Amino acid sequence: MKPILIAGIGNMLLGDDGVGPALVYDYAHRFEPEDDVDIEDLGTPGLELASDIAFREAVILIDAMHSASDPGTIRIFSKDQILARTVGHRIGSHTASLADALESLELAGIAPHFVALICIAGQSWELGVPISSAVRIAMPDAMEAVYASLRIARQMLSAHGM
Amino acid sequence: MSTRITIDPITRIEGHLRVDVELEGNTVRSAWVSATMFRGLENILRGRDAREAWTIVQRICGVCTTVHAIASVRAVEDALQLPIPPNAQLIRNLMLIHHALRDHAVHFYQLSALDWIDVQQAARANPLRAAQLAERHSAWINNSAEQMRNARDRMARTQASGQMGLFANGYWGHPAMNIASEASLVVLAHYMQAFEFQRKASQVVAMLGGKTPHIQNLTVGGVANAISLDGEGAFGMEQLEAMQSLIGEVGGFIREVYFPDACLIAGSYPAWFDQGHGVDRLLALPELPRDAAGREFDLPGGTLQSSSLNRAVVPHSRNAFLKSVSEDTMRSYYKGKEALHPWKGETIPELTEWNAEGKYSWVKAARYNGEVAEVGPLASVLAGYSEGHALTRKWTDLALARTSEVAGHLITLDQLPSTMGRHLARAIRAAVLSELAIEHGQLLMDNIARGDVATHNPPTFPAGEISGVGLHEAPRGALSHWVVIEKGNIRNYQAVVPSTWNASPRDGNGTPGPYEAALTGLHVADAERPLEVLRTLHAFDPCMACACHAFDEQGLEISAVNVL
Repeated sequence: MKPILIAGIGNMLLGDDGVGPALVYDYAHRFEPEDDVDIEDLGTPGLELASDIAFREAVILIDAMHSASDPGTIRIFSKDQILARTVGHRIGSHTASLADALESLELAGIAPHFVALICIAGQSWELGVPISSAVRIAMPDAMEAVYASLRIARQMLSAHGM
Repeated sequence: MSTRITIDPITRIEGHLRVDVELEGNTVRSAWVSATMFRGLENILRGRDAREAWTIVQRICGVCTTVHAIASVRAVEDALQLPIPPNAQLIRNLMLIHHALRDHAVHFYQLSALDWIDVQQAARANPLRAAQLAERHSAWINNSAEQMRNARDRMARTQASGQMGLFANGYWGHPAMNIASEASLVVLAHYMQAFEFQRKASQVVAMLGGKTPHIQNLTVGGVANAISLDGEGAFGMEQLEAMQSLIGEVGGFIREVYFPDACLIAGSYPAWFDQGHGVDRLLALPELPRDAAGREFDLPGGTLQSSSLNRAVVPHSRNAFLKSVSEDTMRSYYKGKEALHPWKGETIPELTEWNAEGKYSWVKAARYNGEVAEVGPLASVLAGYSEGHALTRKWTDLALARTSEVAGHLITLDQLPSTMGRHLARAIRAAVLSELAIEHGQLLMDNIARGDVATHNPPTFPAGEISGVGLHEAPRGALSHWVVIEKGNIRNYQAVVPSTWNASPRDGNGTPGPYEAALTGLHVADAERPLEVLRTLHAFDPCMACACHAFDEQGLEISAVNVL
C-alpha cells in the first residue's frame, strides 16, 4: 500500500456518475506507475470506503455531484470542509458517507492527513448512457485539479517529514 | 388509537429504504417497506456478448461486486452446461468467502454495533474489566487493558471535543439501550481494529482476482489466473503460501473477535431473541461447489420452516429452484398482472403515489412456489444445522452456549429466527466460512502440487437459444442471475437479489414480505425514537444498492421520523 491514493468513485453504468472512474483510468494510462501513488477505481463503495482510505497519508477522491450548478462545474473540498459537513450531503453522489468514514477513522487514529474531494457536476444519470458532453469537456480541467491536489499533498507530506 | 410512523430513509444501510409502521399503543400492527430499487439490467445487457456480462453486472452494486460477477459466470456456464476445472472452482470459492467475511464484519461493526452498544458509556468504562471480559473467550492479541484504555480515551476525547459526528445520532440513553459499559468498550475497541481486518480480507480477494473491488480474473469456463510452479511473476506456490498465511490472519479476527463480540451483544440482549420472528419459510442455496460440474457443495441449502426446525430440510436442487421462483408486481411500481418467472421477467415502470392499499415499492415481490421466503445467514445456518453439517453444528452450539452464559439463562436453537438470532447466525456463518477458507486454500495448493494447473474450459455457444441460472448464496442470502442467450448474445437477463426476497412488498394475495412480517408485533417504547424498528431492519443487513443510485438524489444521511 502506497502513501497516496488517487481514487475514482461512481458507477460507470450510470452516465455521468462514472466520471470519477473514467478519470482515474485516464490517469493510469497517461503515467508510469509512481512509487508513492496508488490509482484505484473504487466504484460505489458505500460504507466500505472507510477501510479503502484508512492507513493512507493522503487521499484524492474524484466523484460526480448532483448540483444546481452547470454540468461540468468542478468543486474541490478539503478534509476540514468534509468533516465540518459544510459540504452538505448533496455533494458527490457517493460521498454521503465520506464524512462518516473520516470520522470513524479519526476515532481509530488511522485517517489520512490530507484529503481532497474533487467533484464534477453531472447532467445525466441513466443506466447505460455514456458520459455527457458537458462533463466530458470538463474532464481535462478535473485532471488538472488532480495534478494540483497531488502536488499539494506531496508538499504537505514532505513538510511533515512523511 | 393507532399512530403511523414513517422513517425515511433508514440510516446506516447501503441504498435507500423507507418504512412505515402503524402502531397500536406501543405495538406494531402493520408495516410497509418501500425501496427505490429499480432494475433495468436487461436493458443494458441485451445484445451483448454473454462472455462479458460478468464485467458489467459486477458494477450494478459497489458493495456486492464479486458476488454478482460470480453469479453471472455461473449463469452462462449453466446455460452451456460447461464444467469448470477444480482450480477455478477453488479460486472462486476463496474469493467469495473473503468477500463475505469482509461484508459480514462491516455489517456487524460499522452498520449494526451502534444499535446495541452505548459509546457514551464506553467512554467511562473500566479498561481492566473490559480486557478481562474480552479475554475470557478469546486469544486475540489486541485485547489488553492498554488497548481498551486507548479506545476508551479516544472516544472520551471525541466526546469532549463536542464533534461527535456520526456518533451524535445514536440513541444513547434510550430505554432499550441496556448493556454493561465494559461490553460497549470491548466492541468499540474492536470497531476501531476492524478496518485493518477489512483491508486484509480485500487483499486475499485481490491476490486471486487481480484487483478489488472489481475482480478481473473471471472468465466463462473458469478463471484467468496463470498458475505456474516455476515461472516468475505468475501465480505459484510462493504466492499461495503468502495467501494461506493471510487467510489465517483474516480467520483469526473472525473467530477470536467478531464471533465472541456477536455472542457478547446477543447475550446482553436476550429479550431480542423473542422479537422479530418474521415469516415461516426460509430459503438457502447450497454454496462452495467442490466438483467441476458444480453439483457437490460444502455448505448445504434447502427450504425449511422456522416453526418446525426438527423436521428435515428439503434439500435444494437446481431444477427445483428453477421451477419455483416467480416475481409478483401487484404492489410494486411496475406494470403486470401476474407473477412472472425470471426468464420471462419484465421491468416496465408504472409509478403511482405511495399507497398502503396499492402500489408502494420499487422492489418486486419474489416468491418461492408462491410463498414468501426469508433468505440470508439465518436460513443458511439453519439449513446447515438441520442437515447435520458438522462445522455449522459446532459453531452454532458454541454460539448458543456462549450467548446463554452471558445472558445467564438458556438460549435455544428455535430462538434463532429473531432479530438477535439473525446477527448471531451471521457470525456463525462467518466462523464456518473462515474454517472452510483454510481448507479450500489447502485443497488448491495440493491440487497444484499434483501438477494440475488447468484453470479454464473454453466455451462454445450453439446457434440456437439457451438459458441458464447462476446461483450463489451471497452474504445477504440467495442470489440468482437468469440469462437467455442466442448465438452467444444476451436476449434477457434478470437478477433476483437477496433483498428482493427480504425487502419484498406485499404480493397479489396481500401477504407481507419478510421485513414487514418481522416488524409486525414489535414493541416500540418511544414512537419519536423508534430504535426497535431500526434494530429489526438492520439485523437483516438491508442492501438496496443494486442499481438504485440514480434514484437516490438527495443522499441524505439524517433520517426523518414522522409521527402522524
